[in-house]
Amino acid sequence: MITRALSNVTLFLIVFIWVVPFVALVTTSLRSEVASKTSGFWTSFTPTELGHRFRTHEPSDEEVTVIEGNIFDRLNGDQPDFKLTGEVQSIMQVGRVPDPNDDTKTILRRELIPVGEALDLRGGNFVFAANGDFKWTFDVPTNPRPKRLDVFINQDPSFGLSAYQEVLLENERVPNSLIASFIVTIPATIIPITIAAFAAYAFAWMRFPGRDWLFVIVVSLMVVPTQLAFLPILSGFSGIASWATTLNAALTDCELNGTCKVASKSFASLWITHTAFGLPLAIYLLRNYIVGLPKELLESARIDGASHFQIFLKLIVPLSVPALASFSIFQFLWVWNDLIVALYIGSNEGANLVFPIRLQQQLGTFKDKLHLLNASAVISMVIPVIVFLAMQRYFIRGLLAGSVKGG
Amino acid sequence: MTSLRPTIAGNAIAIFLTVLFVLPITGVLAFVASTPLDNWLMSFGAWLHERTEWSFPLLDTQERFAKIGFAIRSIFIAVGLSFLYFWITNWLNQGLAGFVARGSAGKENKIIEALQPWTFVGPAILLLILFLLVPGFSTLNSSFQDADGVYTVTNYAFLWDPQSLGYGQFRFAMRNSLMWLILVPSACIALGLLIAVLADSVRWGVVAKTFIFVPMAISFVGAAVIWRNIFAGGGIEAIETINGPTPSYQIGLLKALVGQGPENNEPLYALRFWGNFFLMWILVWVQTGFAMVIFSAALRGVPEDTIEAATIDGASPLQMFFRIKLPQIYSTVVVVWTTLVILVLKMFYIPYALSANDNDKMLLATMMEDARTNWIVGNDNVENLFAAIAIMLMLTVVPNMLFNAWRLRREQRAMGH
Amino acid sequence: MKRILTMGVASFAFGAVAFADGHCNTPSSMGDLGDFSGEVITMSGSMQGEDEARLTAVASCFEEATGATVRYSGSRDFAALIVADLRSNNAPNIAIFPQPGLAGDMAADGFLTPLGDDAAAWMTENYGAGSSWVALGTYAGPDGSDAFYGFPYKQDLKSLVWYSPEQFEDNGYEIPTTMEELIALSDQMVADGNTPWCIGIESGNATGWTATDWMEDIMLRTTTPENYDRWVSNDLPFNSPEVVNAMEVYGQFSRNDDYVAGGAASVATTFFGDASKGLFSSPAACMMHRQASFIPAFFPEAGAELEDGRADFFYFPPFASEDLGNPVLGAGTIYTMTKDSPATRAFFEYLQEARAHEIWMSEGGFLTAHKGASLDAYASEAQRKQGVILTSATTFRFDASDLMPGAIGAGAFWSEMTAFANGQDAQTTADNIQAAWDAIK
Repeated sequence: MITRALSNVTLFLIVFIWVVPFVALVTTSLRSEVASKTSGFWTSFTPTELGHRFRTHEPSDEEVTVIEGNIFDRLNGDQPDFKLTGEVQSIMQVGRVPDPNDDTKTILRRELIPVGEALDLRGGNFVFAANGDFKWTFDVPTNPRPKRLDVFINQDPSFGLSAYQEVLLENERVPNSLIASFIVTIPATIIPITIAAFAAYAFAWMRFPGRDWLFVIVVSLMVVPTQLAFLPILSGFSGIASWATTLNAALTDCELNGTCKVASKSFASLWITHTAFGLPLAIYLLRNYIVGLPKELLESARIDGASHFQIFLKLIVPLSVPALASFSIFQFLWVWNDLIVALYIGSNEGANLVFPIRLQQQLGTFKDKLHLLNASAVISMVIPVIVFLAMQRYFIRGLLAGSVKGG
Repeated sequence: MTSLRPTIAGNAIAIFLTVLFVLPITGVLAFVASTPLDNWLMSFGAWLHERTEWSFPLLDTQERFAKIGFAIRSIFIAVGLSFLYFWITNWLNQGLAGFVARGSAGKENKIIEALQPWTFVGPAILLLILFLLVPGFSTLNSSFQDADGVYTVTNYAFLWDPQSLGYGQFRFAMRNSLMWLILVPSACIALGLLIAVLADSVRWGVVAKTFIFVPMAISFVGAAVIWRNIFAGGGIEAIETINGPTPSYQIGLLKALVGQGPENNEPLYALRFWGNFFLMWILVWVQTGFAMVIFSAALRGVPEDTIEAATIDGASPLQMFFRIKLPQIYSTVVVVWTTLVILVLKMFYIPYALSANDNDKMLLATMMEDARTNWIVGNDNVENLFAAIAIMLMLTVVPNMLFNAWRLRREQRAMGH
Repeated sequence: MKRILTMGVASFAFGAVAFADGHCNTPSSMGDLGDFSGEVITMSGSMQGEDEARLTAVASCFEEATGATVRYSGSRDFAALIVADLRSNNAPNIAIFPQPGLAGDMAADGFLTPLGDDAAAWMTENYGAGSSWVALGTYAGPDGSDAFYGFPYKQDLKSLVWYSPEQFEDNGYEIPTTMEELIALSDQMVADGNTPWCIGIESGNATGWTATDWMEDIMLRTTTPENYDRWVSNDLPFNSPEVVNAMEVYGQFSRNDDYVAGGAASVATTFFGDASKGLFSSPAACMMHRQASFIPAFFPEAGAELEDGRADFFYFPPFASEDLGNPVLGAGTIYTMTKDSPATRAFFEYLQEARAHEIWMSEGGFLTAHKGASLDAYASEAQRKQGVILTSATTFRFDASDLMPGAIGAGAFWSEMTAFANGQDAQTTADNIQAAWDAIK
């Protein structure tokens, strides 16, 4: 009984630690810029006392004895997305007064004036209420210069979608990156799985000299750090690109509008590189699955005179759907989330940057706009998480086929 | 059989040449022929734009729709070509064999069977050679060259010689890479085992496992963004007034939990040396789900009778786990360990995203990127230095690679293939 | 690298730009550049966001005048990309270098085309302190002989201290005119319970560059411009007393817990763009912020503060005790021809037109040393004030870290200044940088 309770509590704690970052992410993305930078995300669910600077009024030429207004109206004028509501606590008054110890000097005096008490401001009398209404009265008509004051407000929780609106609609970068990520990911998932499935079948059921050693080499390549290959691949692609540029110039009228240049770093270079890098794992997973299919089935098909090609298409592919699905999720997640291959091999044109690069850049550019950074991160993970959760079962099954053998 | 060799070789060459010409030409033709799709989608975009009054400029919409068109057709063409390859090689192989063997079914089959495995594994092998093997050796080669192509060891000296500029980064990169290599897989495995055991013993285990598993779907950069909120520091500081301080807040959760005010805004992952552990934690958070899922399945595969026997002997749950279950899933632990080690060695994203220019947090992989972007300014030899770091990175994987190859080979033998 | 970040980061809110009609009609008239209909000029640089939009505005007037098309692509990784592009024969027509150092390297490798002596002569004549700008764009070619390769266009001014006039008024502070007064004012602020400075040098993989700017500015105020030049070329070693002294003076500001918002320990981890925001927080986190002319883009309302009196700047003053005049530290982008074509040459002629400067002046975020460009074209009073500081300087020096070899100026100098912020002493810091410099000689 005690162990059961302990298990529950421990697991709950672990899950809690795992989930809190997601709460932080989503909460931050729904807050205003100022709020996300001044107080932690956990304070956003309860009223929190924060400072704001407001300006008493706009400058004008009129001479008046009374200026009236509302602090919330003044503050909300600037920030329509996150309407500020709550209770005014105090206003900070700052000014220099003579030093009691040394009358040649002055000292700075700061005081938090609570609601209901009056501030002496530019020779006038400034009173304010908890609901934000203020009244600034003068004995004689004057034209006071506007004054900016620090007001402390116990503000109500306030959430909004403006960060999402800003990254998705008011800017072309995030939508472009979404499209670019799709363009890269879909072929980079389907092509390796096609190639790997044929190879896996050959490794599993066909006899050819050196088969076993070849398979061991292929699988060993799984551990080769891809960084090792980047620069040579890159120079290979730029060789092909300059060759293609020449060809393009010779065959088409591209010189007229200056479009001859074939980029060496492109979507195509990413597809093929991702395909190559994904192959060892794909072949390993698929072969382990295919080799486990009932041998009799294949043998009887052979006896019936079916060719390997027919067996592959009519028997193996339908039977291997779980493994194929598993690898496609694996590869989809891998490519969608990849930063390093895209950084080296992918197009570096602003419109073609894939999402992780965009996000990486935003870690720099949005360092001071946390709500936008977090919103962008949420958008980047919506698709993989949906794909992942929807196909979780396949994913696990395929992984197990590859890893738990002999376990 | 020997007499068939020239025929087989001839067929192989014929197939290879056909593929070499037919595939690119089909690709280019299909690409040109499908261009109207872009224009069509562009005008569709413009139509939508007008109807829904989008706030982007019209040009943007058109460009984006043209790009979607480009995406659709390139996806179809790329995928179609890879299918075409297998179809065409199979067709050619059978056709040629039938033609050459002229009715002798046995001979025909032999020719087909000799070539077919190679047409199946061909593209995979070719891609692996072109994109991993050849570049790997080419990198090895250039790591021993200077800017003028002369063979030398100066690139390695640059990293290892304490007097040289590179050593300042390299010693940290080595130290941190080793720390990551040991600590991250250990932590993932320990946590993964713990969670797998706990989740199997409670009723809401499946839900718990899903939560632990989800981070696997997230990019490492995304994970970095997520944990930034927790490990950050800063906020608004209090100011003294004659009637008390103004309110102050900390924005980082962990710092707030340990009671630190906003005065010091250093994020936890930026701490000297200890910051590394916070960065490692992010990877642990992402990868534990992987270990957990596999252990969970493996634990369920432990034969019931061994457990029952232990229960009868009065084993405590802890004894049960460490004496009975763990030894039986040992080989799974090794597999997971290997997988995680490989992942850690390639690890680049998290330190790159959160603490790029900080030697103290450098890994070999981040050092490579740093070399490429920062040293490139005014240094011709950067690519060779880059290659040298890559080789050092490779060297740290070699023991693992050999172990893996040996294990695979043994496994294959055990399975009788 | 540093300018890549400062400018590329400038602003996010840039969809596509709708230029007002007639944005090409500026006070100055323009000569005939020729007709290049149908020709395409490709440009790459590091500018993104708002600066990209403004550059596009300048280019669009060139397009209007000549019929050519200008295609610009901006990337944060410009430095790495342009080297790769040039080496692989994929050069754009024009490369916009944020650092003369890298441009010089590329010139030495033979990737740049000289702009000609006429252009150099024009610049000596028409830019304020023209010969120093020509020197900035003059590099040794592949054959070792010097030629004018780089056209400096768009300048930044670094010797500025930003503050909030309202805060100064509330607290009763006066604008200092000498460094002695500035230090006294800082002490006064500490005595009042205020924090004088916001300093942040974090900038991703360029962390430390703000500190190098601080130090260079102080270097110009504690030793002669000649020593500054010798320092840049390492004729004056990095660990010589003059340099260590400048670093220590900078340390008196940045390593003083009372002086810096968040304490001296926070300097290395505060994002440089975020630091300026302390001026406007409620309550104010600090009173002053030393940063270049681009910084209003990072203010909470992206520079609107300058218009309604919440923000202003003063010249980072020199020591009255040292007789060094009014030195100014600055920077700028260098336009180079990486692939020759008649249309490209026409574009460089266009850059000589006052109008090409006035367009960007009116778009904002731009200072120019072009004497012919009308000061009235500046978008704001603040920019005009900066323009005057730029032209009335007695000494102008380019950002030293950009002139040093990349491994130092974008490497050891940055990282060691970060170590300095983290508590390493000045002598060790200077020794380390010198050691790095010795290593690449």
